Amino acid sequence: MAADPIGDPHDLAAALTAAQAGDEAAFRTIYRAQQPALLRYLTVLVGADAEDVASDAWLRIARDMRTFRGDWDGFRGWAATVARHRAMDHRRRARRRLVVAGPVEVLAADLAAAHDPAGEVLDAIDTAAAIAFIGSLPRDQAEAVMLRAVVGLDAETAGKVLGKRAGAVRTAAYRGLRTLSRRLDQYDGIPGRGSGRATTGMGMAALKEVK
Amino acid sequence: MSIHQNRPIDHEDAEQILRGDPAARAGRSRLDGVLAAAAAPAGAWETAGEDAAAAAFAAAHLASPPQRRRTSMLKSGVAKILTVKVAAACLAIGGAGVALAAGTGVLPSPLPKPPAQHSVDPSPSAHPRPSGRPSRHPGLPAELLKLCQRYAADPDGARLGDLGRPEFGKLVEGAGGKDRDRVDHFCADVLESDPSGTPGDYPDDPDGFDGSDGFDGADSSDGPDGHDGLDGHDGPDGHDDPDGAS
Repeated sequence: MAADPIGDPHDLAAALTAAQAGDEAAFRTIYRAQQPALLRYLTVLVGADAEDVASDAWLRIARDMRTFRGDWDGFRGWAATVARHRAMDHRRRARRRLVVAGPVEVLAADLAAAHDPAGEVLDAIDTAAAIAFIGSLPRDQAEAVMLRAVVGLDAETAGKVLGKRAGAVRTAAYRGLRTLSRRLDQYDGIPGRGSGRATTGMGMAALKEVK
Repeated sequence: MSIHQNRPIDHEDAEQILRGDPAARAGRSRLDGVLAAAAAPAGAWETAGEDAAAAAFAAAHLASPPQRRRTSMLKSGVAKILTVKVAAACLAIGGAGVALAAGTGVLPSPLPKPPAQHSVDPSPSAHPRPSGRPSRHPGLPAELLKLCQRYAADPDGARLGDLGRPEFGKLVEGAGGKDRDRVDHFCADVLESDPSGTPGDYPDDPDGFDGSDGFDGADSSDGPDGHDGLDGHDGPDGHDDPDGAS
């Protein structure tokens, strides 16, 4: 996936094997490959607590990965499952609801910020804005979109993570994308956003530069 | 701006977009922008926890050998010796338990308090994590703890079947018999005496993910939060000994 700084599944499959045999450098490779996607996925589940929950999940992954059986894709699914369970524990303990700001407003504010060309910190803002936007969906849709588009799982593996059938995941992701698309169209029409569509286009161009 | 920009997304579009199909993405430039930004390369802050995770990994690896990969374990002489010790300790506890049960008429505690009356002195390693830290010794307690966690994880109806499965043989042996109540009590004691208290660990069981019966069955019935009831007795943090990570 794009969030994967290494990217070559063969290298990562080899790293997985090596890490399971105790190779710490290989474990670090795996961490760097998976942590960003897991962190972003967790953000839609637990918001600002995602880093803590991710740390928690990695302790578990580090401890149990030796007994994991499966390939690299399976491992990514398992890691997402561990992260999700930790997130659900966290939500239950905290008994708090993720506060979701108005999606369009959040995105608009961040897009406005993204127009400022200064500084690399804008990369983080753009990614954060996009995740917040996805996170504004109903949770099942947000999770389906994140697991598939960001964590990079196929529908079957995402279904395992979520305890759903692949078809249900596909439907949830589809609904999510449709809603996101509709909201983006609505954003075009918001008065006071510069020249409407043109402004949105600029904002998205800024988002795309992060790719 | 693509002419497709405002056409509602259908199922097939969604699949193509999620798979990153360039043509499908090109027709949805704004949505593509959002998804691309969400999956953008990592910022350094996102991997700030690498050293802590690596330390946890190193600690876990030093702590004990894998318990389910016996083929590699058995290649080492040390592992063989440990296996013998495990079996001996298991028999000792089983024997003590049976003796206790015979003497008192109650079910045996698998983890007897300092055993003045026992002829067999369970080695210190027979007490799981007596100090409140994870055992650093690969041996009976960790294995039984794990087995109990797996056993407790299974739905009620499946437990009787578990007792007949070879991988639970040590558990049956430790509990003193292939008896549902015995094993239930035994595991209740084991799990209770484990300060990290993680009977809920099993949903993350690495073996569960690819297994045919996986963890899915455990939580598929009650919706997104469905596993809640299953790992509800997790310790405060739901993981073992953060100190051990460093």
